Amino acid sequence: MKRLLLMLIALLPFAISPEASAAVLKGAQGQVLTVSATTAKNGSTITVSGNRFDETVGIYLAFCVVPKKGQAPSPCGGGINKAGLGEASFWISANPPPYAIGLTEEFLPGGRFTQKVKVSKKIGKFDCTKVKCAITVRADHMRGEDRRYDMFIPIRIK
Amino acid sequence: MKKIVVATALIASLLAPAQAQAAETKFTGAPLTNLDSQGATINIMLLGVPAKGGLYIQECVEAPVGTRPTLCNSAIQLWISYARGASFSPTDVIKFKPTGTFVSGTTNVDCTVSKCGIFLRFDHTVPGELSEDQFIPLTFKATTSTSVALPVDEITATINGVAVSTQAPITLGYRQRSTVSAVSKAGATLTFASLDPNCALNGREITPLKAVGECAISVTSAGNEKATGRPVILPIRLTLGVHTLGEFALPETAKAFSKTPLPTTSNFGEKIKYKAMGACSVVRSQLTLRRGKCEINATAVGRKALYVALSTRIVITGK
Repeated sequence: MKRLLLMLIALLPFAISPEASAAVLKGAQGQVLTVSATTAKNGSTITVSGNRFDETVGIYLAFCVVPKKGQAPSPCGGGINKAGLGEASFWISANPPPYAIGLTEEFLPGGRFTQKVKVSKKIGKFDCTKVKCAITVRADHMRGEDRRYDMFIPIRIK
Repeated sequence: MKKIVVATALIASLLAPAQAQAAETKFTGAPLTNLDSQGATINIMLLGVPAKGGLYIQECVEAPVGTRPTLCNSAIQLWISYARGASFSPTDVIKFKPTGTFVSGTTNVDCTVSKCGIFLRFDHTVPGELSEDQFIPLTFKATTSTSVALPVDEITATINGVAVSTQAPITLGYRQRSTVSAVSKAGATLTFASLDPNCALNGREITPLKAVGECAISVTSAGNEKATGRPVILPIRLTLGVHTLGEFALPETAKAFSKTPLPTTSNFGEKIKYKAMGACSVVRSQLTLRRGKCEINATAVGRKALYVALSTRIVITGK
């Protein structure tokens, strides 16, 4: 995760300028995560695209509180409170387990996806104007403890 | 509902303890339930047995998580290895004959009372390594039956209409959607499963997600009154995907001075570049024809270990 954050920091001067708030993050396996904005209003949506993801590894895409180093992203919008599900989290998999076939979003060929993720000021008891929150990708629960697939693009909530 | 499943899965993942490293060996076998106490035979196939050692297949009483079973049926243990003296080699159809009761040391085990199962583990050549430990539960009939031994079911399987077996693998390209079909000679119920994440299986539709290595589909007969169940393995060799313009096709002729939008991305999502020659031009993926022969070269980058670069030529005549 440290490596990913460092890569993001390195990319920020190029990917984010005061005029353009979109951001791009390249992951350790060559996967690319793009967000349409890094600043957003409470309740607005951010377009999130992925490319070159490993299609054999299912992922969760969500708006989460950035965890401590080495820990799983938690809590996440849409991941805890049923009332707050909205469009705050997505399960993307080309090979879901039998019980989830038809319930997941599919990777497009080339390991691509595009989703509109709803962001909020509050995630559970956490206030994203006070703690760091991010558009987050992690391996799904089939590889729930594998932190190699974690990606974070911090979002500032206005 | 979908969101609830996602939420449940997320919560479950947050609560779940750290997972042990998954075994490389993929086990398929049948029948595994309602076995006769004496005379039962389980047909087993193993895939992906690590090269660094052999395996033991044992019948044991399930042990607590993180420990190896201590109550095992030593009389029927099998050694799976390419080494001389092994019971079976890893690529064989393995016949395993568990019993509903056995004695382990001084303990009498009744598998209708205790939770018995097949225990897979590395053999003596890889001592102390638990990574291949797997426990597959078995159930036995409460009473001993004296049924006549049935023949093993025969399964005929095809992928895209081509017969496939361990002796005759099929080759599929990255993202080449394919269909698996199979018939049980005994008319038994068949179940299908992908044994490797490199190939997704949705119903009977296979989608290769890699272009290197292999994957495999298992087809398992549940058995019936005519035959005992068994699995078959359908190996698939993976190769580079076919890079195309997708569903797009141009007619051989079209009206001169007409404009036609061309696809901007390939079937794998790569950006397509066009170069027009002759009686036409392409600007921002829009084709403008003049009278005469037009030749367009379309190219897109490839991706290592998934698909080759796209390079295709389209000819159209403006009239």
